[in-house]
Amino acid sequence: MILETSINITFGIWVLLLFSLLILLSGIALFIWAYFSGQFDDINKGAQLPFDEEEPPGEPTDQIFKKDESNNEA
Amino acid sequence: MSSGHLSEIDSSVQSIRFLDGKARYPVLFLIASGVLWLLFGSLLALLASVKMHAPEFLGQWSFLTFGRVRPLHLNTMVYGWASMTGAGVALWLLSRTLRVAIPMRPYIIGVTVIWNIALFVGSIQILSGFTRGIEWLEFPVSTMIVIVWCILVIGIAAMLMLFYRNVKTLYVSVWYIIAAFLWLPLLGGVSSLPIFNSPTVQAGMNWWFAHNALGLWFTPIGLAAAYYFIPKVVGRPIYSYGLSLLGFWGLALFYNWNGFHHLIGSPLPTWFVTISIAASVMMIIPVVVVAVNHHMTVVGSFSAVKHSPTLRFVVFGAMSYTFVSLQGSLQALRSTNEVIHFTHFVVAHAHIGMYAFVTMMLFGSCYYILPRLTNWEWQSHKLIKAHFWLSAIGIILYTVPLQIGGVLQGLAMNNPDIPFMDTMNLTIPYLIARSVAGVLLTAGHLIFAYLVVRIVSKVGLRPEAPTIWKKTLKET
Amino acid sequence: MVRNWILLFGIIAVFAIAMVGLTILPKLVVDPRVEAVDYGNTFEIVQGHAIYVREGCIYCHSMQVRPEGFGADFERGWGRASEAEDYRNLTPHLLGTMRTGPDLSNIGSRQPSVDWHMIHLYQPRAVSEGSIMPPYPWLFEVVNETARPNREGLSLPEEYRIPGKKVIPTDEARYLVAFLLSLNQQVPGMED
Ligand code: HEC
Repeated sequence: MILETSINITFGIWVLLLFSLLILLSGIALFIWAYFSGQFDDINKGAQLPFDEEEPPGEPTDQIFKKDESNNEA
Repeated sequence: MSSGHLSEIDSSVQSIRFLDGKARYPVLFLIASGVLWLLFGSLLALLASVKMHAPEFLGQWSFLTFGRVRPLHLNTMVYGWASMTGAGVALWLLSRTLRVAIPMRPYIIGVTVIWNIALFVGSIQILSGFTRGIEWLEFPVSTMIVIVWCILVIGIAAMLMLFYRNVKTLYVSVWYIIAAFLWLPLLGGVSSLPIFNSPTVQAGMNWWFAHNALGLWFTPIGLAAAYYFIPKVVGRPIYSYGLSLLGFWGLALFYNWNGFHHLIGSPLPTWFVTISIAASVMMIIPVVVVAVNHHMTVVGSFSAVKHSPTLRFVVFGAMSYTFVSLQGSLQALRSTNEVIHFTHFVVAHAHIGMYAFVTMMLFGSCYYILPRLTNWEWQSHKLIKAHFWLSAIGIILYTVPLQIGGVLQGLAMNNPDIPFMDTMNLTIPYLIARSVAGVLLTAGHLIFAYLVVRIVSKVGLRPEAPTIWKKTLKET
Repeated sequence: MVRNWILLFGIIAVFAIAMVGLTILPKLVVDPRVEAVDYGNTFEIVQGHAIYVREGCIYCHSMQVRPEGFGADFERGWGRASEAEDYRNLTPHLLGTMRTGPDLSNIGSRQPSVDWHMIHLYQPRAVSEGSIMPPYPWLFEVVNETARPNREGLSLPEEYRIPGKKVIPTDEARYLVAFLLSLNQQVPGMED
């Protein structure tokens, strides 16, 4: 083999370990921020967004094959 | 709860009719360009497929050799059809879910023109042999940069919409689309960097890119469409909004790391490959979350699926997504990979992803969007149904036999007593089945293109009242 | 506003972490190994590599031998497990993902005959019954039997011969075959 180790493995492991710790901590920090700033207060609110007064929930849209059966084929 | 939210919307300038009117030209142009490349890509697909079992077919011309037609097929489908139509669908979805008109409309049309030119130039380059030679990245870097730049400009419009939106809460589709518009230019930029021009490393970058192009660009757009159209057409909010957010961050965390499962057994350091295998298995979490959410929303509304052209395609696509992703997680395991790596199985798998999932999702979206953009109705229900069945049966006929053939090929390959030629010969019937399936798919695409031309140019009978609009809104 | 930026930041952060992990780190680990070898690539080999790329041989041939015990690559005589140094420092990489045809990592030592490769490229079915490999006739010239007296035509089997003509390889075919013959697993400076 031409080459055994091109980077110092122990050093590399430390860098990776600290790096992943940093990522983990920032993830936790973001979660705490999100929790206390009320991001999770009303989590299902977003589910209503595709609907509005013009096309409220409860009524299927785009049912063009249905008309098709009562009328004649377009 | 819902009424409070609905009142946020100022009904004049944020009404869906107004937004659709503003979206008309840029989105129509993107979709129409996409359909053009779909037809061209289908032609190349047929050529490549036939050439695999009839090598002498058009074999005397260098520019039609298998090794050039096949990559061009992939590139036109990926950067032409799926990316263009996907970008159009994504813009329209953003306009709807953020309640804001698409900004920069002349620029979007302008970059779409440039994008088309780049694809045209790139096609000539690949056919005449000026290829970059990296799978999924065959367009020369200069051409690729232009395409990425076009998507970046459209992405800027998407960011503007995010910042100037008229609703407070972000719908889950928006998360996916915004992420997709950030990820693709980053992917395209990084993959063009010259630092990866050293052989073994380039293989790593290659599969990191190729897997992410599907996972971080097409998958988010496809899922965004599913998250919008399923609730919208069924008329019922998504089953669990919380789950959908979990699904999003799961995808973002794990999909990024998947690429190296294409390199199992290769000379790249094993630990990178192992990370990718682990991440591929972790993908089960976001996939199952999405599957549960979609299933629970649709369940009990089968008639809505049957009566809606959109939902047929979208539900087919959503089911394929679950299937293809779970299959992908299994394929990444070393023991399965030992058999299926280097066989036609993977080709079929890629088509379940790009066709049965992404393309079906885009077809479904087009069936919903185009009547609303053109204020016109689809001209023939029969043809829509024919398109659906041709595509659905075609892709099943494509993938099932080819995956069986791939497994047989892999098993034979791993048995050193079987001469190599037999591993090739045994696949030929399956390759012929693929060509037949290709004819069905192409017929479906021709029907689709015909319908799109009819609805865009508004020929045919003017429907008395477009069936898509509710009675009260039928004027115009 | 803050929420927008946090969303964008999160999206880019997850991407960037994986990008460092899967592209930059491999580069730091692998590149020094490759750079340490002097391959002495000749003009023919470099040109042949470019033609291999141009004709898309990669879509049917892999160039990576899996380790012994993983698949049957070794037992098929395709060579030892590939190493990062095996690729002669030529880009684009040719690892490939498909084995419609056999792996070519070691084809130079498995099939060292120039004539065989020439005939095979001109018409694969002339030497390999029932092959589905495409022919590459544009790498060859068909000339009259009497023309170019100092160059011999390919010795094709009867059915592929054209009466009164001979088939001679162009430079491109010579380069491509030079590249194929260079594909053997003896890497300069690396002894096993
Ligand atoms: C459509 C797929 C396909 C393409 C494209 C293709 N090959 Fe092949 N190749 C095969 C098959 C199948 C075989 C096995 C049968 C044979 O020997 O012809 C093969 C065999 C070979 C062999 C002999 C391998 C051995 O172990 O005996 C060589 C060398 C080769 N190909 C080189 C090339 C080169 C160079 C190119 C590009 C110019 C190329 N191939 C393109 C399918 C392909």
